[in-house]
Amino acid sequence: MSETVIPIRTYVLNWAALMLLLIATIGFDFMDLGWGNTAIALGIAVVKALLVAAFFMHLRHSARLNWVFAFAGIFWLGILITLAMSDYVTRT
Amino acid sequence: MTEARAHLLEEQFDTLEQQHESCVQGMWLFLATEVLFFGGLIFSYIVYRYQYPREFMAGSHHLLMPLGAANTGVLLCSSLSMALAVRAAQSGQRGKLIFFLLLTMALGAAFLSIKGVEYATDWREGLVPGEHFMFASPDPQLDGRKVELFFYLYFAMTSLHAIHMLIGIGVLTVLTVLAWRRRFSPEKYTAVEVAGLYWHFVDIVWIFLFPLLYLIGHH
Repeated sequence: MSETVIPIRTYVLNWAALMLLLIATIGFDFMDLGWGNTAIALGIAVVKALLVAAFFMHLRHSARLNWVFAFAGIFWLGILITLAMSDYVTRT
Repeated sequence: MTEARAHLLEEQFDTLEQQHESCVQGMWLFLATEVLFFGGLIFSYIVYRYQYPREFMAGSHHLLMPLGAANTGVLLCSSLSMALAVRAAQSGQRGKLIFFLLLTMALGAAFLSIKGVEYATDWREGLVPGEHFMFASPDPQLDGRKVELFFYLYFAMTSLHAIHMLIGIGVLTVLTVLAWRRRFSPEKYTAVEVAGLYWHFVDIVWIFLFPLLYLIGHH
């Protein structure tokens, strides 16, 4: 089969990075940054999700069409949230 | 193509590579629909959090953040274990494959147990929405009904996630039996790869649920 076998070391490093990001999330939670707390926590979550998708889910080495599928889900969720929220935030 | 390889090929595909790629793509397509499945709940969450930020913060502070954080760690470990299971299947190491599948399931079960402890505590504290919902508000200006809305979303999102975990554990149980019966080889491990994609996706959902539910306002 054509799939690349990724070295164990890559998986373990990816896991270590994810655990460090988890510790960072908890660390930031003890500082009072207002809405900044939410922004940082979600920013870290996005990085974690990208790491999981790129390495654990093999997206980095997979067909570009899979990138399109992965992006499409997020894109349509973006449409749902953006269009609907443009209503809620502009109500008076 | 050798006889052995030809027998693995379904008739609608030209090559084993194409067959594998198609199955993987099908899973990605399914995951895109799953994003929208959870997306509906995430969207309701955004709408109500935008409207009732203080009630959501008060509700969130009643959740057991250390348990939520521990569960995130457990799931990240399970994803590593799942990735190593897929790798073992790719390289034809049957013993390792069975070991990592069992480890992944054990971590999944640990996640659900911790979640169960949390649900039991929430139940005792009267945080389950409905007739028995009781929120002792420290601030008379907070509307208990709006805090209840937060808990409604908390239970809807986490239980939908927990159901996905149960399905995942079920799928891995079948894979373990198949691995035990020597049904996988480096030419034929697509089922393990695809189950892995599902498992990691459920992990990603939790990666977002943790900050959205447990980390509103600092501790």
